[in-house]
Amino acid sequence: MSSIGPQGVAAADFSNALDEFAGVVGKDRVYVDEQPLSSYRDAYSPLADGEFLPSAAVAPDGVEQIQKTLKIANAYKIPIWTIGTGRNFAYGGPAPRKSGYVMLDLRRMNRIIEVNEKYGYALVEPGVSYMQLYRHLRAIGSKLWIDPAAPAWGGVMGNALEHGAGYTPYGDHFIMQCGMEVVLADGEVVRTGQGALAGSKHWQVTKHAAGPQFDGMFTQSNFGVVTKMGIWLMPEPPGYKPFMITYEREEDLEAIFEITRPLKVNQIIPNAAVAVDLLWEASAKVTRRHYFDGKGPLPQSARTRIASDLKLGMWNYYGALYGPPPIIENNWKIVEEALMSIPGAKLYLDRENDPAWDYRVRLMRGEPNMTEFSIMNWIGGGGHVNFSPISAPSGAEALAQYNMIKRRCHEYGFDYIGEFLVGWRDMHHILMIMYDRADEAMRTRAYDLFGLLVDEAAEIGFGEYRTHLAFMDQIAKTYKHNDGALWDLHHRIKDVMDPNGILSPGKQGIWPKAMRETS
Amino acid sequence: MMAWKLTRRDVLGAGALGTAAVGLGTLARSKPGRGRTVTLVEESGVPESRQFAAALIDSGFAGEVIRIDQSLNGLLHELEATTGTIIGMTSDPAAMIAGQLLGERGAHSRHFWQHHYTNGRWRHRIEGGARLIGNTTHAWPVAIAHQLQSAIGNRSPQVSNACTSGACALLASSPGMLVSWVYEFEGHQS
Repeated sequence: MSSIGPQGVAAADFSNALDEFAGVVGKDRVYVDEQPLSSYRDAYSPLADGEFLPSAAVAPDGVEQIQKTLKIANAYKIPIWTIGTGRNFAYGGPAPRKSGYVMLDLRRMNRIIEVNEKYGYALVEPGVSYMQLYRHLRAIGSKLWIDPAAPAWGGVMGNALEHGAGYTPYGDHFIMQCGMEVVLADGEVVRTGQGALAGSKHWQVTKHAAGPQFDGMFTQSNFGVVTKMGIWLMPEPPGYKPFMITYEREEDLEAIFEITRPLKVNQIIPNAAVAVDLLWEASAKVTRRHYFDGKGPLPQSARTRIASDLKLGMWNYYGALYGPPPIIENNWKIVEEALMSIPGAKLYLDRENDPAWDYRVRLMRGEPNMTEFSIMNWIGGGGHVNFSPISAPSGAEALAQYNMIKRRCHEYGFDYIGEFLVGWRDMHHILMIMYDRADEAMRTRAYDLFGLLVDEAAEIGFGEYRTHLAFMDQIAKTYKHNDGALWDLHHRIKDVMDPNGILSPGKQGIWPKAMRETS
Repeated sequence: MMAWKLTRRDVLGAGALGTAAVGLGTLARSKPGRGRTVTLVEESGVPESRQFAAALIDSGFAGEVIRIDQSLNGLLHELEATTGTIIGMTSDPAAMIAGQLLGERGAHSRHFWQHHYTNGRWRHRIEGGARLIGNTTHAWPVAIAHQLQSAIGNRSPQVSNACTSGACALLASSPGMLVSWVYEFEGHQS
């Protein structure tokens, strides 16, 4: 049995609570031994081993069991940490915010409750993965696409709740969410939107019903346990034209996004347009050791050789057009003329033996895969943590972020490995800080670099859209308009909705009252 | 899924023939347990993984082979129904994915050896004797296959060890960091 217990809970109470949990979900669905609990570790943690370990896990299979579990947690004031699939290892995976929490593992709740071909949506439970939904749609002969995040084992619900993004025109997952069922901390079950109307048949179609819209409150938060969620699915288009354009110079980034902005705002390019840096792209094919086995960032000579060997640019731009072929061809003329106007641009409509092209093309047509994990081979040792500032789709802002972040990466001995992704009017910048987990000094430098970047980005006006567990408090504190009024509001809501502070304490820097003083 | 009463008992016992020493020319005859299913994972794009797999297939040790390509999708498709012993030498990401999928189904990690190419040599962190492994350069995956096969059948605790190969080049499609790993499910004798 794990030697860790929830902070502030007497051992006898904890033992009683575990017995009561077992009475709800069955003894074989309460995990307390080291081996099953090890699967809740953050496999790529930027912290030392031994941080963020749970004391136990409870795996209910339905709403009623969740209600009973929360009742017990309230009675003993046991903090619980909810996961759907727990697969996003760039941000902490399944691990809890603090050691000792009890995992509320919803992976058994993996039912695809409905697929509606006519209106293009699915209603899913928290444990449904992209691969599972994809396979299900193919098995039933559906002509609907999913929009997967890069790793196929990610959760459809969890990714939307974490404001995640994909690569088809339905890539903003929270925008594509429609209708939730939520169990509140006191066990009450609430359905949002038209789900609250008895007999409604349009819960997953109409986002805006009477009254305030609460769905956003249950994303990146700890105000409830979401148990069902509608997600819109894109009908298979009659045509699909993926493309890749390579750009020779780092400073081309500014022109790339000045050109991209009108193409995106006007939806000429309907999916997420992505500019991927040389090393991210190369790491799907080769490792750093093949070009340079020394310490510190890769020398420019090696970068030049990689670009030449692999026919890559310093930036590699992916996008796709969708729809009836005549419309695609019309829009393509506009896209090609605009994006190829940058000197040195090279266009690819197909690339042979290129796993990076292959997985991007699959993602942009809604086919989940696991290829992105291959890029962890770049350094070896698998450690990575994503720093993800958001901004407007401005070329000048992209270049300013890139220059600032690359300089810091190099100072700390890391390669810059990143991509910029433009949604409708937003730009996500994903820096992947890669390190060898077995190299303690490197891991510590990665952690320090991340913390520095959070503060420096905030100083020039960039916040992060999501983050690893270890940085949630720091990032929360950068949202400090009017003396931190927004997080004060989060805390006021938390105290009312979850007075015992049992639901995921510390998630996104939102702590229950009793833990705020000590966090 | 994982069970409440999973305890660390040695399932490798009865019927397992521990071998004391292995060499490149002689194959160990150890088995993980009488009638027990052994599934081998080969990452086909990785040359060391292919060498490792070929050695275990040739020895008749592996009953089933799962071959995964660079998409790593095969891990999701093929590991769902595995039982018994699952063994592989793969890139570090593939090992992590396999570990997550098998661990949450209740499999126990039995061995986790690391092989890291740096400064023109392979560095191995293994269990048991290291001399043979250190003396090999390009054939080291074969030596690891034999040593791991022996370790699976060995009931006594193995000593952690490290060694470094002689100077050698890194093969073109090698990830340069590999893990040889063994997971076992308890109570699933086939």
